[in-house]
Amino acid sequence: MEVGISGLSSEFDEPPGLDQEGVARLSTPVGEAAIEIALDQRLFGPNERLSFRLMNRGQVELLTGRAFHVECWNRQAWIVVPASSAEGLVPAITDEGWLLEPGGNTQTQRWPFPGMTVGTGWYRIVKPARFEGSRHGLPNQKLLARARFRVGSEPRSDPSP
Amino acid sequence: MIVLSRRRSLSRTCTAAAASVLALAIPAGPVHALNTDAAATHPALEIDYQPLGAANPPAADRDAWKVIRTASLPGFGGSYLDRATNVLHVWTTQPSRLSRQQAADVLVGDDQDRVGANGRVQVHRADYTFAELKTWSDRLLRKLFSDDGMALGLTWKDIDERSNSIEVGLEDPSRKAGQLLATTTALGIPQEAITVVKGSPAVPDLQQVRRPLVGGLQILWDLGHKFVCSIGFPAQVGGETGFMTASHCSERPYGGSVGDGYWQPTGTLADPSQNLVASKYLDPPAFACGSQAPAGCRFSDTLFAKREGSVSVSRGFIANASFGVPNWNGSSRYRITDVEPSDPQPGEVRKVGRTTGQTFGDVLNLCRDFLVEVNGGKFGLICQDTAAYFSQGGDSGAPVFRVTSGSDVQLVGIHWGRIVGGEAIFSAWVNIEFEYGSVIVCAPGFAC
Repeated sequence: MEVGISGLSSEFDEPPGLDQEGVARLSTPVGEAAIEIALDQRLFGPNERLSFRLMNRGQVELLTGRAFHVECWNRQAWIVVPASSAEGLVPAITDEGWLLEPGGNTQTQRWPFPGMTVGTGWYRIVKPARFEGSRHGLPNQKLLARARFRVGSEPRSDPSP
Repeated sequence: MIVLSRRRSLSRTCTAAAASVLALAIPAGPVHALNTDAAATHPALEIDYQPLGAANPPAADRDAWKVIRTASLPGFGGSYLDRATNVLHVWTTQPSRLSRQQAADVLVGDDQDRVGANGRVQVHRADYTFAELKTWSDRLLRKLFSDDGMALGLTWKDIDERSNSIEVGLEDPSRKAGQLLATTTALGIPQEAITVVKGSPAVPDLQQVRRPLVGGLQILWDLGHKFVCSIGFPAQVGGETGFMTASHCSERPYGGSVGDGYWQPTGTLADPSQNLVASKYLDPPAFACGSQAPAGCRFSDTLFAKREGSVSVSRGFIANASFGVPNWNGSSRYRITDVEPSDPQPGEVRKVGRTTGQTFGDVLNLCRDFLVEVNGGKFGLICQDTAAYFSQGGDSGAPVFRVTSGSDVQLVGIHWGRIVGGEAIFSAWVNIEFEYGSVIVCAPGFAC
């Protein structure tokens, strides 16, 4: 059952995994690596696109790109949302890299892709970055940032996270 | 007007529903599926960045927490456990005021400084407090783990609690130590607080300074934003020497203005001439192709960059990097002896890019159309091909090729992107040749 944001159903019960979100951190020998996804809002209505950026909240330079995926909560688990739409419009992303200095952030990215609409429920963006340790004779290490948001059946009325 | 083919792939569980039927007008070419990307340019969001040395440092910043935890120890300058003798050595600038028991009470329990039941504590006079070293270390971190660090050949930085100093590893201390100490002095850090050592050499890879230029090396464009891509292959176009890479590896892609600089492997705003190796020279304009791609369409995501001055370029060669990682010894190379004259044939192709090094996979789908959003513009890329090799951000522009014999390869195209959650996408050589006309890419002695 899909309901409006005001008519809370079990679909809108807060799903687990909140501890995996916020700032993702890892320790490297040359400083802390940390990333966070900044969403323009946490509540969306139908036919709206969200905007987000990945922010480097740590002490070391990180590499990221345009790659990300979105998961939705099916009341049992987080599952990956297929990028394809009913019309078979398979989204593509270019593969340049973005070197994020501490305090830096990526260009804005948007979801859903053109040609897609999404059902109501809880979603979360998952976006990777990595510490390229090879410059320092160290192994590469990967970080995953997650940030959740809701899609309701009505235009948003509560812009607060 | 050509109506695009469509595939149905839809999960009804908390996800996507159908959109509109798309149509794309293309001047020539077969019928394909249309694909999209979600990147665009929007005003910056506010950044809530917590500066170093803040009251609540990140959990992983153990040195910062050690400063906080040892605040009650007069003049505390660091500590370390000698595991051979089970002695905890404690530094302080005020040895007369710090008792061994006081130090043990605070430091024992620290995972790094755990003293066993029979352990002892020795107190030494320090020149600097740990808080001072931490402050200077953070100051250095910001400075050195940016472009300055690259120029210095920095490999390491750490507070060395065995010497009450900041240890900095350099690839070549004999040449760079003076420059480092000048930097630390400018930052207000006493030179005596710095210990310079020869650091572990970084693994040689595609992200280091490399001359002559060959396919697969890292290039950087836009010094402000620090975007990175890969060299596709050295080439001669219209009598000019340079290399080809992806068109979206430029500020105004798919036919936008030329002149953008490329640095290898990176550059600095402070000295833009350093490592500047080429500038965008040819980028065929996009053609009108319908409302779904209002910024226009191209048959390849490529541009030609002309070398700067006498930068050494090795036409016909691609770095033979490690599989799955960008490690490269600087000498092992593939030689381009042929180009694929038509649609990519079935079978394995390889790519060499600055992020994932050498990867391989079978050719999957031929001649599909894609829609990408780059810098806010929606562009169509017509008749592109896909393959099963792995790639990640930074691999754009990488050469795609097929090994024919030993280290000889046939050039197949240029890598530029991925279907979201799916296969890699490249522009075939035949499309590149169609857009540019005569392009010389083979090693000397071979006719292509």
